[in-house]
Amino acid sequence: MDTLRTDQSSALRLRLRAATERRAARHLSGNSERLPALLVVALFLLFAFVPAHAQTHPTEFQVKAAYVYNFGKFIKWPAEASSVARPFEICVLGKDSFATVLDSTVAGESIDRRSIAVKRISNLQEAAACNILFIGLSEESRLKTILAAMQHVSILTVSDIPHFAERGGVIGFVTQEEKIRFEVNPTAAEQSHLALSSELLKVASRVIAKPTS
Amino acid sequence: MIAQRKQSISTKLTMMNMLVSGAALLLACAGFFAYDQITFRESLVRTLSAQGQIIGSNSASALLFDDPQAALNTLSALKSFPNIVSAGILTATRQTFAQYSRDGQDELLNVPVLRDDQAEAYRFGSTHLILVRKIVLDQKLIGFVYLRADLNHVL
Repeated sequence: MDTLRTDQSSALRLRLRAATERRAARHLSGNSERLPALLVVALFLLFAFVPAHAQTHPTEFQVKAAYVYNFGKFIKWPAEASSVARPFEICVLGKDSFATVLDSTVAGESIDRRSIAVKRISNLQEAAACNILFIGLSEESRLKTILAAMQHVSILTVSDIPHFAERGGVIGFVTQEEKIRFEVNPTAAEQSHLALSSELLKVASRVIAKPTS
Repeated sequence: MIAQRKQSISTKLTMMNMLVSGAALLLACAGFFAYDQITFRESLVRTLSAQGQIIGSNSASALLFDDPQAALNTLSALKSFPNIVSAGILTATRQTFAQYSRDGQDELLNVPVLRDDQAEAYRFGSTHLILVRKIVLDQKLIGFVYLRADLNHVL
């Protein structure tokens, strides 16, 4: 009885397989009719995109955006700031297009298993929920006020304002030999209760030493 | 034949004993040799894999922040392992990022290609063992590390 049933089921399976194969074959032959058209489209796409790709060197903002995102991985965030439910916020203060570039860089990425949200802000009150604050060049005149406000909150300050790390920011971008590098100020990070990984210090172009008191 | 027949039974027995124990010894030797070879290779792969892991996790930041000099510094720590002939770090697109060589000469190697589901792969040559390992950070492939070890060098 049992053997009969298995025989029947295996016969059914065989018939099913034959049917799928037939369907697959039909599908293939249908595709082959469309093949020339597909080839033309593929060739067109190839020629349209290959030269464009060969030329693209990441722009300065693209590199900086990738760096800002990568900084997040090399910093130990304080426990109260890293709740999984809330997205990881990268805020951009300033009038340049950095936020747009950042948007496309971090799309679909995550830090600390949290999704990333890019927020454009215009005043410091909005910065309270941020994890990383990027300060654009346009804000140089009021840098002192910004840094004073950021001193004891757990926000990583990043900027391309010259001598940013020396002036009390945590990470400042510099350009050296046409390459984008960064300076790190561990003392400022400590005040913000952020632990910078030694890996980050290793690749920093300069680590600002603690002022001797 | 005649000479053999003239031998006493005791001599014959001794001869047979010698033959059998000799064969047994030979077999055992071969077994030990093979076992030694296998364990030597296994331990070599294990050591190289561990070294690759250390180098890999220490050069993640160098890769992400495009700093070949920092990667080179990490690689030059391999100086203390004289059996490593050369080593290097490749970017995720398999471009050379940093290279180290014991004898100070650059070399182009054909580094084994890894499948998507493989974390590392190795290949034995006649004189060398080459191992390649993925460098992964937050489940994302950011590069490869490869190491080439000398098989003739006694550890």
